[in-house]
This record gives sequence, structure tokens and C-alpha cells, in this order.
Amino acid sequence: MSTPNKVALVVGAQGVIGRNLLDHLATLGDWNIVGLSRRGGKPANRIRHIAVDLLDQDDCREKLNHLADVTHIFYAAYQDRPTWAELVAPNLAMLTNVVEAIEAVAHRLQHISLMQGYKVYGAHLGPFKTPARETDAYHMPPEFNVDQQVFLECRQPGKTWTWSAIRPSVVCGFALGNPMNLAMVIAVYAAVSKQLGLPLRFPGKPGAYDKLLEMTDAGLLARATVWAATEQRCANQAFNINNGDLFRWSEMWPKIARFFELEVAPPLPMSLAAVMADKEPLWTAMIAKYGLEPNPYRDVSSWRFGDFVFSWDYDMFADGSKARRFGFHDHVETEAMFSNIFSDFRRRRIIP
Amino acid sequence: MSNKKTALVVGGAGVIGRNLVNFLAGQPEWEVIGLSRNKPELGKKVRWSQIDLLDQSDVAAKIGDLSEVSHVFFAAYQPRPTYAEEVKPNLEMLRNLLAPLQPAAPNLKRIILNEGVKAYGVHLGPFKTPAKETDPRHLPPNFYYAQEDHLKQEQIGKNWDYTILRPDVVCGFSVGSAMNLPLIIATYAAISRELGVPLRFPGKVGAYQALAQVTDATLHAEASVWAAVTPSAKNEIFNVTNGDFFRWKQLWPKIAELFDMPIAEPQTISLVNWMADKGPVWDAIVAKHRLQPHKLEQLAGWKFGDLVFGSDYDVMSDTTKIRQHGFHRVEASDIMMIRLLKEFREAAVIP
Repeated sequence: MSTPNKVALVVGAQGVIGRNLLDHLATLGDWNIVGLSRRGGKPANRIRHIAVDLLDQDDCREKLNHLADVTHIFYAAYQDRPTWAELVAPNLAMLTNVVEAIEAVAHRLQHISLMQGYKVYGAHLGPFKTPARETDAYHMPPEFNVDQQVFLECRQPGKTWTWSAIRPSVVCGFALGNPMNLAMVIAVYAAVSKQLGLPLRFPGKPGAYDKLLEMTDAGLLARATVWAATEQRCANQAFNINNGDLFRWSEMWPKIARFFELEVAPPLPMSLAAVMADKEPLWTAMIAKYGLEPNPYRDVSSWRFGDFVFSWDYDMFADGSKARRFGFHDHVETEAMFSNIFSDFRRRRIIP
Repeated sequence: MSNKKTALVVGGAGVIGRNLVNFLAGQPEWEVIGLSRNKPELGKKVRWSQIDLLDQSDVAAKIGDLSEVSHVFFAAYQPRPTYAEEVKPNLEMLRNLLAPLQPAAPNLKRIILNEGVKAYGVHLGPFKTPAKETDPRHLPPNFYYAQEDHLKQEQIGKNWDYTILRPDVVCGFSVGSAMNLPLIIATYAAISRELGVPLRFPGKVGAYQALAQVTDATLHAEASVWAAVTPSAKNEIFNVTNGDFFRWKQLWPKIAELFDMPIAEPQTISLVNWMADKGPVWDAIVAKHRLQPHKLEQLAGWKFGDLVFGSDYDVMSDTTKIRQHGFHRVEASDIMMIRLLKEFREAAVIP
């Protein structure tokens, strides 16, 4: 095994993106890894965690001032806020605080990887130009993803480091307590439906059932992120990163139902945030009945995000061919991805 | 033992065939033989076998010349007025070649059969997209099914195997094939400009907005050779496209810009009907711009244009399978289209 010569600082290490990135970096052999999050975490081989409040400039400086050996920052932190405008200030401040603190001490800093998403293209606003390309014009602000990229673009000239911006679709993988975890939404919704003797109904908007969309497997995303951060040709560029296939819920939903051994019934629009709000006692009973890990209901709930994804009654996809042209060749079949993630949830005793 | 492989490119004069012949001619480990009824004019010297595959005695007389063939790339097509009528001649061409070739070519290793998105029913109307190789067939007739079944049946117990490729709208630098979309677009645009009308999308309004895909002919050639030599491609089916999707409304303004033409809203016309009387206009364009003396009907297969521009539903293949098996080349379709149009212009085929 080669000697670690690169040091990754993974910012947002407990999210679905950060966790999978840590795991991937740990398998590569030539990385030492520091994870940042509010919660912190248990150290493991080549990984140590630091609990820090990134919104607090002083806390950042104090906790990060010994990280002189960091070579790569992987920024995947996110602060939720009720409105698009309110997202800007905290999310820009967190990035600024980390970059300023690390730049001041880490003189070997080579790269800053910024995690974005299709919000750059206005995917969250309504129908937008698809397939979206990295060269498409920005939408009307506010858009914190763009502000973050502009911050890096303006700061980079004359520096030792370069940046890359990674734009995944909905990221699917293992994580707990994550506000944007679609696989968990589906798995828990399906388990609860089954427990109540109900068929599996698509709960989204009627028009969302037959539109095109795509997913990004968290493992594929981790590989792409490290690839872009270490490939010279990718310096100072943005890349859409997706599984490489497209699907419609109308096709996927029956396959998901088959996995959970459920009947499919026609779609029935309902707000998951509303109808799942009172299911905590049921979930607690299911934990006891099936011997599941005692995860609190809130840690397996991202209902607001589920409602958001299932509301897309327009094609929601980006052109992933730029990364492929630049040499990233991973493809994941989305149907297999869902089935692997649900099996993983089962192995971890998160769902029955 | 020599690693030399000998390719027989059947349908060598078409857009798929010509680009494959050219690609293989540049590969040192390949010998290439083209096969078609009429030998096309080619830039370089290529060995050619002029055979009418519908004529068994013609095949029998010439099969002896094909004894070294190790790989067959089958890209021949006989059009007929109806889908039912297409089955017999297209099946016969494959059968008439395979039956005598197997004893004549003892080194035969793999047969690459080209199908298309018609395997999924693209020609019938809206179909399940993205289409996967595992999707069930539509109700026959479909000559691909007949060819595929024959190939599978014939392969049992043999030393050779097969790979089936399903490209869609193969676009390449080639003159004289009926199904080459860039030339259909280019001649339509030139005639529109000559007649003083803006560049209008001639297809259905819904087709302007729906998702489309194409396959670059050189990418297809590379994929064909990849399929020929990749062990895991044995007896498998692969979709192969550029790997992106586009909408005509996104590409059309770029085409108008290249031809320096104003653009206008779509106007649905049947190209077959509306271009029928435009031969003299094209001849005048050829004279005016000193183009190569091609007749309009040599350049543009309007029926194919009507089919492509009439698809007012998403046309999409899933290409995950071929990527996961190791074929990685992708092309940006808009850049490909503009590049091909420029190549035709530089070669003085179009103004």
C-alpha cells in the first residue's frame, strides 16, 4: 500500500455525500482524512473527526488552525433554511469560514471541491431547460450554489489551489438524520405502507409519475468527486455527475414495490410531511416487532424532501456527458442502485 | 500465430458501412473487405466484394473470396413499402450470407448484427423510454426480430458467436445513403435559403420539443470493433448512441447560425412531398456554388427525414449496459452535427 501523501478535509462529514466520500477516500490508500461536522464522529482507520460550528468564524479558526497538512478540501456541508433567499448567508459564510481558516495554515493546499446540485439550473423552480449543461446560463438569484462558486472563482487567481464544482442529481446512499435522503423516504414509506396493509402508492403529483428524472449514487458521486479533484484537466470547472441513465417513476415504482413485496396501486397525491407526521408510535412499535436498530423516527424522516422530489412534474435531468468526455467512466444502473441501498438498510437493521 | 483479423463489412456503402470500412482500414491488426451490390466510390483503396445477397447463385459464385473472414459486420438493409414486406428480403440477405460463409470461412469468430431503435417500436409511435435491451418486443412484424432469431438459432453449437448493436440515427460523413440525417438537414436548409425562406423545422410541432438522440458514425465504428473483440460482448445486445439527448429546438438555432439563416417557428410539411419538385433548385445551387455534381435524390432520403422529424415523443435508449461492459466513448450531439455539416461544406457537397 502506498504511503498517504494527500490529506482530505471533508466538510459535512455526516451527510449522505460526506459519509460516502469518507468511506471512498479511506479505501484509496494514499489519503489521510479529516471529517468536519457539528456532531463529530468516531475515529477510524485514517479518519478522524472534528466537531465544529462552521457558522462561527472563531470556532472555525480555533478548531482548524492545526490542519496545516490539508491538501484537498471537499466541501459538502449544507445549512437548511425555510426560503431560498435565507439559504444564501449561512451557506456562503460556512464556505468562507472554512476556506479562510485552512488557507491561513495549509500551505500545501491544492484543491477545493465544491458540492452543488441541479439547483444551479433552477431545477427547484419549475420546468427548466433539459438536458441541463454546465454552460447553461444561471437563473435569477438568489442561489447560494452560484454564490459559493463565484466566491471560489474570485478567490482562486494567484493561489496554489484550483477548484472544481460537482453537480449531482438527487444523491442516494446510506446516512441517518439527513434532511435530503430519498432512498430512506421510500424505504420507510414502503415499510409503513406494508405494516398498515396498504398497497404502495406513488404519493407525488400526478404529472410527476411519467416524467424523466435521474439519480446520483453516493458511491459513484464519491468516485467522481475525488476524480475531479485530482485530475489536472478538471481544474476550475464544473461537472454534472449522475448515474448515466434516466427513468420515470411509472417504471421504477412497480420495481420498488416488488422489492418490498407490495402491491402497486395507482398514484394518490398526498403530502408525506402531513400524512407521515403521526407515524412515530407506529415506527417505534415496528422497531420492537422486527428487532430494528432503535433509530429515532426523526432520523429516518426526510418527508419534506420526499414531497419536493415527488412534485417534479417536469423532466428533471442534466447532460452528464462532459464528465464522461473528460474521462470519468463510471455508470450505475438506477434500478440496481435502489435495490442495493434498500438491501443495505435491511442489513443494517434500519428497516424490516 | 498471427493476430490479424479480417472484417467483412456487409452493407459497406451505407453510412454505417462506409465509416466502419474507413475506420478498419486505419487499424493495423485488421484486414477489411467491403460488401455491397454496387461498389461505392471511396477515397482510398479498399478490397471490395460486389455481391447481391438476395441472389444465392451470386453469393455461391463469390463466397470463395471470403475464406479468411473472421468477423462479419452486418449493416445491410433492403427497404420495402411496408414493415411486413421488409421481413423476407432482409432475413434472406442474412441467411444467404451465413449459410455458405460458415463452411467457407473456418476462422469465423463473431458476427456483429446492426439493428436500431425500431427494435423497440420507435416507428410505431410513443414507446417506453428510455428503452433497455431487456425490454419486451413489440407485436411483429419486425425484420430485426426475424434476423435476430435466425442468428441465435444458427449460432447454437458453433465456434462463432454474435453481438447485436442497436444504434439510432447514425450520422456520418457519407454520400449516397438514404438515411444520413446531416445531409437531409443540409440540403433542406440550402434549398430554403435559395428560395428565400427562413429555416423552419419541418417536422411535427411536438417533435421540436421531444427528446432525441443520434449516433456518430465514427463512434459507432469504434463500438463495432469494440464489440468484435470484447469477450463479455459475446451473444449480448447493446444500445449504442452518443450518450446524450437533445431537443431539436435546442439544435435548430445552431444549424441556422451555421448556414447564416434566419429561423422561424416550425412548419410541419412532408419532406417526401414538398421536396419532390426541388431537384432543379438543387441543380441550380450546385452550379452556383460549384459543388460536387450530386443529384438531390443521391443526398437526401426524405422518407427518413419525415420519420425522424415526425417523432413527437421522446426517443431514448439507455446506454448503461455498453458503458458497464467497457465502451466509454461519448459525443456531444450538437457539436457532432455542426462538425459533420462543416465537413460536407468543406468537401463541396453542400454550400
